Amino acid sequence: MDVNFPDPTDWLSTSVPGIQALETALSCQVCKEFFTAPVATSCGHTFCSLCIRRCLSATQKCPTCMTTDDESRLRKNTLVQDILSSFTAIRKQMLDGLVIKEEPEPPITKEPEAEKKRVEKRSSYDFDEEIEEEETTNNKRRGKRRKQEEAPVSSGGSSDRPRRSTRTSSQRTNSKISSQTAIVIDDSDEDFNPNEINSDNEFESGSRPKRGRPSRVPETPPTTNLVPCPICGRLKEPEQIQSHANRCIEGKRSPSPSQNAANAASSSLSPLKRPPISFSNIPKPAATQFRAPYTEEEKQKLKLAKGNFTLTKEADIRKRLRENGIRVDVKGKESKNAIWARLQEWTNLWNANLDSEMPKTKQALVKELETSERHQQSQKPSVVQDKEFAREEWGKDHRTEYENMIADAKMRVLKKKNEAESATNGDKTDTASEPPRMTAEVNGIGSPEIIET
Amino acid sequence: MAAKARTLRRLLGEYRELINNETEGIYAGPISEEDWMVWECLIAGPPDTPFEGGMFSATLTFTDDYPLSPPTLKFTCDILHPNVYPDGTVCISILHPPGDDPNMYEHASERWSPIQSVEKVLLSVMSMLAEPNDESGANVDASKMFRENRERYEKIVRNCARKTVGL
Ligand SMILES: [Zn+2]
Ligand SMILES: [Zn+2]
Ligand SMILES: [Zn+2]
Repeated sequence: MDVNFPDPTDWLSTSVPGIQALETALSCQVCKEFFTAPVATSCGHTFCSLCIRRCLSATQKCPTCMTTDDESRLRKNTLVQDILSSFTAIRKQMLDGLVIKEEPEPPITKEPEAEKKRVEKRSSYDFDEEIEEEETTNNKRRGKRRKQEEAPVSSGGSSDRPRRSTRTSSQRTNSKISSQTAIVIDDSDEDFNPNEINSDNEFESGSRPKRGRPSRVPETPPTTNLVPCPICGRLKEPEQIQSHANRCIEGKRSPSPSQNAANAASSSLSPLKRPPISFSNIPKPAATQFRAPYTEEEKQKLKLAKGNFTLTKEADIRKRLRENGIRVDVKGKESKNAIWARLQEWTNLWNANLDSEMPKTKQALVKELETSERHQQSQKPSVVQDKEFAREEWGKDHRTEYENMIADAKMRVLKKKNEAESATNGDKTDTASEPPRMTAEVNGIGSPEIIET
Repeated sequence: MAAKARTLRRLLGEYRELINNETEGIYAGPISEEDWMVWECLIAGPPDTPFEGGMFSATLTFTDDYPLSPPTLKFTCDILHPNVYPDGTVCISILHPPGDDPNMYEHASERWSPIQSVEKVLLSVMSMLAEPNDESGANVDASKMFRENRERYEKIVRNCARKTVGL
C-alpha cells in the first residue's frame, strides 16, 4: 500500500479549486480512490470492478442507490476509464502549473475558496446560515434542521465530495512497465490496481511541493514474510518495520495553504492543529507480471460464478481452490466458512481482473490473494513494537488539540452567556445562562437515572 | 489491530480528507497512530438547540471489513437523548445497513452503505442531536421526557452540554 496518493483537496490550493470536483467524480465512492477497472451497475453507478463485486457479494445492492443488482449485470465503463487516463496523465502537470506558490495567500484567492468549500459541504453551518439569512425568523429553526438532516443522508453523485487517493494511472504506463524489473507485489492490499504501477515515480518528483515533504531514498523491495507498516501500510521486513514506522510518524508535513484558507474561513471553531500522518515519498516497486487485456469473448468464457454456500460441498471448495493453485488448510484444517471466504475473494479478484485494462497473470493474482491473507495475520505483532513511541508522540499532540477544541467551545459559551446577561440585564432568567444546578444528577452516560432524580 | 490493508487505506484517506478539508463542528481521528480501528470524535452541539455550546466526545470503532460494515459510535460523555442508549451507543439509521435497521420506516438511503463516511456519520449525529427521533426508543425514558416534559429534557441537556466543556 502506498499512501503517497494524490488527493482531491490538492486542488483547493490551486487557482482552479473546482478541479477537486472533477477529480472526485473520477473516484470510486467505495474505496474513495481513482477508479480501477471501472464498471457500471445496471442502475448506472460506476465503481471499481473489485469494489462493487465485494459490495454485491455482501449485500446484492448498489451502494449508492440501494437498487438490487447482480454481478452478472456489471458492464465495463470504458468512457470513465478513458477520461480517467487522460486526467491522470496530465494531473501533475496541471497541479504544478496551477498551484499557488508558498507566499502568504492573497485575500482574493481565499474568498472563492472558502465560498466553494461551503457550497460543497452542503451540511456545514456556514452554508445553512447563508441560506437562512433569507428566511424569516419563524422558519429559521425549522429550515436549518431540515437542511442538516438532508445533507448527510444524500448519497452518490459527484457533489458528494468523496475523498480519495491512489496513484494516477495512465495509458503511458504501459511502456514503462516492461522496462521495470521488480516483481514484488508490495501493495499490501489485494486490490489489483494497474494505476499504481509507475505513478509513484510521477509523484515522487514533487507533485505537491506545498506539502514540503522530504524526498526519500527508495528502500529495498520487500520479498517474503513482510509486515505492513502501521502508519502507511507499506510492506517491510520485520526487522525494518520499527525504524520505518518511526520515520513515518516523524515525517510530519506542514499545513497546506488550503488548510490555512479553511481555517480562516471557519469562524466559530478553532482550527485543528493535529499533526497529520506522514505520507511518505518512497517509490513503490513496480507490480507484477501483466498480460494483455481480455477480450469480451474471453471474459464471458473465463468469468467465475459465485456459487451457493449451502449447495457447494466442502470438498468441492477445496478442489476449486487447489485447481487454481491456491493453498488450502494453511494452518491445519480450515473451516468451510474460511475456505468459502477465500474462494469468494478469489472469484472477486479474478472477475475484477478480467475487467482490468492491464490484467495480472493468474500466478500474480494467486500471490496477491495469499499476500493479503498473510498481512491480516501478521499485522498485530508489527504494531506492538512501536506502541510506546507512537502512543507518546501521538497522544501528546492529539491531547493538546482535543483540549483546545473543548476550551474554545467553553470560551464561546461563556462569551454568549455574558452577552445574554448584559442584554437582558438580569431582567428575566435566560435558561441558557442558568447556573448548572443539575450537574450532580447527570452522572451516568445518558443513564435513565438522570431523569428520575 | 487486525486491519485489512484496504480498510486501513480507506481510513487513512478519510482522515486525510478530514484534516485537509475540515467540516465545522466535527472532529475525528485515530486515538493513537498504532490503532486505526478506534477513532476519537468531537461533535459540536448544533446551534439553536439545547446542545449548543457543548463539545460531545465519542468513539468510533471500525470493523475489519469497513466500509462494507458500518462503524459503531458511542458517546463517552454524559448525554441524554432519545436515540442514545444509556451506555452511550448511538442508534441512528446511517449506522445500520439496510435490512438491519431497528427503525424500519426510515429510507434505505439513510442507512449504512460503503459510500458513507466518517464525516457523513458525524453530520448525521449532529442532525440527530438537533432533531431526535422520539419513536425510536434507544433510551425510552429520554424519549418519554422529550415528548412529555420538554422543559426538563432541555434543562438536563443544557447541563450535559456545559459539562462537556468543563462548565
Ligand atoms: Zn473502488
Ligand atoms: Zn445505483
Ligand atoms: Zn510507513
